[in-house]
Amino acid sequence: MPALLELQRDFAAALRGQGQGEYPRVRSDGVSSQARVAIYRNNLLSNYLGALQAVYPVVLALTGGDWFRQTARAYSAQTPSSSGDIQLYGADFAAWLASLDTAQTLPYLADVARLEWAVHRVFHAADLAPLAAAQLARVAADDQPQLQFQLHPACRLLQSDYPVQRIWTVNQPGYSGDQRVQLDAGGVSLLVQRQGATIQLVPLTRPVYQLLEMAAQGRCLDDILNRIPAPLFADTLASCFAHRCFSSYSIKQENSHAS
Amino acid sequence: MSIPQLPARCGIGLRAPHYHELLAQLPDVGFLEVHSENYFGDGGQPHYFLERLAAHYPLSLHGVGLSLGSAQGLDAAHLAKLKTLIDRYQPALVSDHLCWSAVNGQHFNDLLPLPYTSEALDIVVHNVAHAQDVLGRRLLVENISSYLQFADSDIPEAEFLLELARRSGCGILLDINNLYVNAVNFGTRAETFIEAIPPGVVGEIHLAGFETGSDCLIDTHSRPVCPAVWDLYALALRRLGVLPSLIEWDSDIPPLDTLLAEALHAQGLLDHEVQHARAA
Repeated sequence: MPALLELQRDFAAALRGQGQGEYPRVRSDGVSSQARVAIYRNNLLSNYLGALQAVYPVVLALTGGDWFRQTARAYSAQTPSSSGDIQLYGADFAAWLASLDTAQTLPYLADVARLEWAVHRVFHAADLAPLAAAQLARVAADDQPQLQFQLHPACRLLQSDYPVQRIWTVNQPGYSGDQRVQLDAGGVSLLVQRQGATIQLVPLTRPVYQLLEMAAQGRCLDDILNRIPAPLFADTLASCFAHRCFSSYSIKQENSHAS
Repeated sequence: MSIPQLPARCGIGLRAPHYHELLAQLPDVGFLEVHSENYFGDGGQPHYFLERLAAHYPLSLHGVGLSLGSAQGLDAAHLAKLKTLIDRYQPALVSDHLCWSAVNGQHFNDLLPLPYTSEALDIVVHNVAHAQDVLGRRLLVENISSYLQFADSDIPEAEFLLELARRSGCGILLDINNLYVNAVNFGTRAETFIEAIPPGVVGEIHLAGFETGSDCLIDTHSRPVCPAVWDLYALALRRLGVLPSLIEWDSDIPPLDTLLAEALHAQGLLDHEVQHARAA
């Protein structure tokens, strides 16, 4: 093993450790090796904290700075970043929140975090032209059962038992309306979407959500038709197009996956 | 391999709070530099503004996540994303740091110092050469700020960086503030570093501000450039000639005018050096 790899493994352990004891690989030179390593450990925590604050401002607003800092510290101790791109950090923060005792007192918090992650990903998603319904005219009648719709990359789906759309909206910067949220107002099925630079949360009807979810799973039209009541189908599909939810379509070939 | 070219003028770091104002005013700066990873997403607001601004300014892509000093080599997915970004924008310059930030799949998203040993040099040379092969571009590699030195280090930092440039063919991004921070933190002379560098190998200069921690100066990019760093900058220009120079300001981001005033100051020193060289 190269000495450099050994050093990097040791230093990684020191960064993730609690900072007791000297680090003989590090020169002390007036400032102790512990104090020097601690500077990097603090930088690391503040990088992770900064990344989480940027992605989860509503969770931060709901819980307060001290609680958020503590929780972020505990989360980052368990969850190292897996990418050199810090913008990908915090993908499973919602699952972590759901596992905490806080989940008892703020049962909607994890869903708010899921929503914020969806908003974050949609914010950075590709700018593709939406698929227009008219483009389906090219699909041969024989191919229609095998038709698959690709969900637009700037669209994500999210369901919650809590009114997370309302919670998110009243906690946006510049929101000046009524701050009250009725937690027993019921759940939502949401489309999280970017139109231009604007993030929109669009409440969906049950069949529209169902259709989009099946499309996202790569299911074919004949499969979708089996699950959505026939009288509703045309309106449901039209609604998906009206919301500009698809970016492309494909025809599923036997024994192959969607493109 | 193409030689990157930015004008030998002062540029500014492009940060999201300035997007609208920059695009509306299009101030006269030499170039814009972005953190590559901030544009690793596929679209949306970051690319909306970068595309429009890149139509008006030369662009430099400055990475913070390649981890060129990783003993386990480079992350292929990260390189591929950087390649996609380079293909999309055709920047004048691509750079990253003389540091490491990942081991065993854990990323620290920080610029961690290397031990300056011959083994580490071999590894960094290999990684930089690999990155340049994959990207089809010459890289500039930047000297970092450090808050510690490894006991194993037995090569002076300047010599390590110059040897890296010589063996890998990369250029050097000379960060004057980092030189100053390290000189204060370790009781060395920043001038010695600058004097060790031959002309021709440095492709860009960085300038920034630091904060004073309890044990060290901390390179926060949150303050104006300090007077001592301006003096070192003037020295570097005299020795190395005029070079593309950047004001970096990444936290406590000031109003655009404050950033432009810093850039104007640097531009004044660049102009002075041009006149001085003509007169000589």
